Amino acid sequence: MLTIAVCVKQVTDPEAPLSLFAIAADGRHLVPPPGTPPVLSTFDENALEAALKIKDAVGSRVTVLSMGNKLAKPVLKKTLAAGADELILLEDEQFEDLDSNGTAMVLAATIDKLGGFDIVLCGRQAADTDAGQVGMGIAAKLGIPAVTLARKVEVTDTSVRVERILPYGHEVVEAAPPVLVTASNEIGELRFPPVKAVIAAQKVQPTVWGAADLGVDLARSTRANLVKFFVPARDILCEMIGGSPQEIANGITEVLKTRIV
Amino acid sequence: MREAILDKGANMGENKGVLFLAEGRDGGLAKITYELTTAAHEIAGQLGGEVNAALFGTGLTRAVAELARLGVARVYVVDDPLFAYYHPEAYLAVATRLVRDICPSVVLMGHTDTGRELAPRLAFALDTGLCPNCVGIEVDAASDALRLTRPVFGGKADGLYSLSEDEPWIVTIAQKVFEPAVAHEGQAAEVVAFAHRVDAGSFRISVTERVEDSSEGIRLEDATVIVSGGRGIGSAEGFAELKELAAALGGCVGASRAPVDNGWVPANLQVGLTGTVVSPNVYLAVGISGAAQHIAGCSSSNTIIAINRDPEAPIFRRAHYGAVADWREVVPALTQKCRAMFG
Repeated sequence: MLTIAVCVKQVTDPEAPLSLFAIAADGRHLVPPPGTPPVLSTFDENALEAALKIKDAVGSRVTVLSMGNKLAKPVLKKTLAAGADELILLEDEQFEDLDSNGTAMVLAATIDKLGGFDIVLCGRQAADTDAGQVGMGIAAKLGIPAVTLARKVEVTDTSVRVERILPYGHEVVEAAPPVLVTASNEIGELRFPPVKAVIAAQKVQPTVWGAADLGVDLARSTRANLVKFFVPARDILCEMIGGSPQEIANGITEVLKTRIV
Repeated sequence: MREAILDKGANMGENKGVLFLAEGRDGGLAKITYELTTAAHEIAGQLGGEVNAALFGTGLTRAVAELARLGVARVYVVDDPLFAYYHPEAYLAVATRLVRDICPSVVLMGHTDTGRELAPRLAFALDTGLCPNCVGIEVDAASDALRLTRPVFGGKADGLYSLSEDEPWIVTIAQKVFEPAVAHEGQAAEVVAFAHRVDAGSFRISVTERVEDSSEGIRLEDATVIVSGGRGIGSAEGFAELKELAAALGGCVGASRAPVDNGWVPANLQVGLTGTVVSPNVYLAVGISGAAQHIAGCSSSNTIIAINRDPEAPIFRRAHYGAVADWREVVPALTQKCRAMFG
């Protein structure tokens, strides 16, 4: 049977307003307001949806991998409720704050340990760091081709067929498995799981592996060091135009007159 | 990709300096190329070494001539139909070979569709560090290390990064951050035709079809006026109204992510961190709340005018002019007024 791995990242909810966040004293973490649960990174949800669409179409076994430290299991079990067959958590103190290279090393080692997959799916970039590197890193470390920015992924008899988005159109790309694909939001939102599946998923005990289980040495893995996060001062004073809709339209036109030649 | 790792450069030079990947467009150079030139000179001015440029594509005569006038030492050119469109394996193979040959300290690319795809591949192939989408680059005078600033958390905050010691450091630069360099007739770079030795037969990824959207009119990044709509527009019909306003202003329509996700507009109209980065003369944000990831795509516009019903909408903290109103009432009046004024 076709095998698919989906790599998902747990992130601080990107939709929560920034004014409620604090930057930790060490400058290296963003502290959400109490009671803000972490979520799956949105593009990773799109990647899982792509996997489930393939499962619907041709059948496949979908394994979800997630790496981190102190992972919120109920959040990650959402992937099982949505239709994934297996959840593997990669948890270790060493996995906290890994950069793209370290993360790719851990995920590639996991994929190797599991004997490889026909398709590895990732989100195009994480909702927190927006770096867009891990997918291509996994492919480089596994020595398999990577196709990015998929809006559609299909499996034919011999190849994986991907529609990838271009700035003004799309292209159709084919590669024989094993192949890594990164998903963009055009693939569609992750399906809503039925309540029964949510309850069943909460009873599943996921496999948990640490650095020692994977035999991965992260001592010299860092390529990019975070010095600190900060909130840049960017606010500008907005001049408000008031009045009736017609008066507002007149006011905006006056501004436009001086700006458009 | 693994082949590229084993393919050790034969003639490792002592050149150092900065290499940037120029991008062509419509026979000339893309705007980002001029901005990269400025960035490369600023970095090389502090780190020392030459500024060299590379350009891959086909039919590059005019683009190469222009690039050679931008004050760079050498222009490495691969002018071959195989490079007419970006293909990750073709571009990675030649970029890896070139970097191994000329050994720059820093490799710069634009954070464009090409740069954000190629840079991670190159960084992993060379096993060095990458900082993508940088809005600030400083050279630490004491250590000669780069200190790189990039937006994170969808543009809600910035992160300051350094890269590990192994060179070359790979950096993609956000669009519209650096002033564009100006070409001078007197300057003439040495133009080197680079032997790419790329064999398309070895590619594992094949592009079987390329489809261009038939969306008419001006491209977003070229528009001087953009009328952008958000979730508040509510429907494709609503966007038709914005299109009329944009037409009256000689501009084009953009969108935040919600209208794209809801299928009201095609994906290529999306302005933001994951869409197009724009800097028009006037950016009219209609029914857009101002999520950080959207602001990151339009904040360098000369004038931002926002119309939103919610006085607390974050867009009003980033706009130069604002009106708290229902767009359905303002836009028709504005369109009529603008037709009379600019028509």
